[in-house]
Amino acid sequence: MTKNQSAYDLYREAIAQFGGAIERLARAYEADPDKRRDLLQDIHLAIWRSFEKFEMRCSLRTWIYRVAHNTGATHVYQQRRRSAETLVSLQEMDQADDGRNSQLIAEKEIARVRLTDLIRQLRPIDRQLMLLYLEDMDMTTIAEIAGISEGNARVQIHRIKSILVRRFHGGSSRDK
Amino acid sequence: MTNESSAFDLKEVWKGQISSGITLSREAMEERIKMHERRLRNVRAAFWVGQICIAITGAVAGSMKSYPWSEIIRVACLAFWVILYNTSYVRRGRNENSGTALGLYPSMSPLVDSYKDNLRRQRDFYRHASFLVVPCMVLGLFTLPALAAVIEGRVSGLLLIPYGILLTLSFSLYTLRRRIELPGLEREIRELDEFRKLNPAG
Repeated sequence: MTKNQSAYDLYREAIAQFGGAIERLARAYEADPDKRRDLLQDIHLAIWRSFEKFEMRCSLRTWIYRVAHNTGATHVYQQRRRSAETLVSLQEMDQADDGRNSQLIAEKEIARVRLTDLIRQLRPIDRQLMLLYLEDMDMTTIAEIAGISEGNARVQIHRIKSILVRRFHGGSSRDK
Repeated sequence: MTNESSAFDLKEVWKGQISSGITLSREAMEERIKMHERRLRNVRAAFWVGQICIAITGAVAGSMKSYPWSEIIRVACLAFWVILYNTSYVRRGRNENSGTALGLYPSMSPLVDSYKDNLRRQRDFYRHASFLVVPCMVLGLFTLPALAAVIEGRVSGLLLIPYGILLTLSFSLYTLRRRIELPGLEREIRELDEFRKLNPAG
């Protein structure tokens, strides 16, 4: 990557590397397919526009994820204003039990839908940490993107993950 | 099943999703930017055209027959302005480090800070009466000519009814939204503050 690269070249490079992850990210921020397509395009656009300010002070990956998550969170904020959608804290999520049968999660597609459903209920900051974790990033990168320390990122992710795993398998805190 | 093995499954499930591999062409992106800008421009243009219509009809009509039409236009512009103001608030609060409603200028701050920024702006809008100065001034701009005409006896006092309805509706809507949204906003900001305190920037 050189300084002579145009914003569009950088954008293409970024999408070639992170396009799949960005699409998954959009799924975690919007359930409706039409709105999701719009959100995905907005994220692409935001990434492209952001390269006007990109001075390579951080890695391309960190930059892309920050821009993408911020655009996603702005979308959540706007949608919430329109639909009064409720996001839950980890404690509330842990205590909730939607009564789904864990045997249903045998199918891959159902599992994906279930996982995406759970992630969409998280507040943006928890959602960001979980998505970065699910994308298999190391703690240093996650901490850099989220703007918190590595130790805190680890603790926070562990907390979200344990609750999510319990909920994913159909139980609540009773299953501990 | 332990947490770790389940967590591994979660990653597998998550990363196993099919991607469409979308890449926007330069033209498509420019078109999208233009579309956003066109939409905003049209909204503003319609607003100002309405204003000009009001001025012209007001000047020409005076107390003549066409006066009600100028009032209809004026009420329509007021209703339009209420909607416009309501939907453009986030955009007007933009600064270097925070995003916009359209996502055209993304924020570079960590999500916890930029998201809190969005929430705080909305909370302040509900919390501080000073934010209501601009809408009140504009409402005054629309309603004063009608009020003056009624006081001067040029038109019937019934003219004020649509204004009254519109003002009551917008005030009720504002109060209702404030009552519903403000506690949630404050709670979320408090949680983010606590999160930041426990998780200082690394």
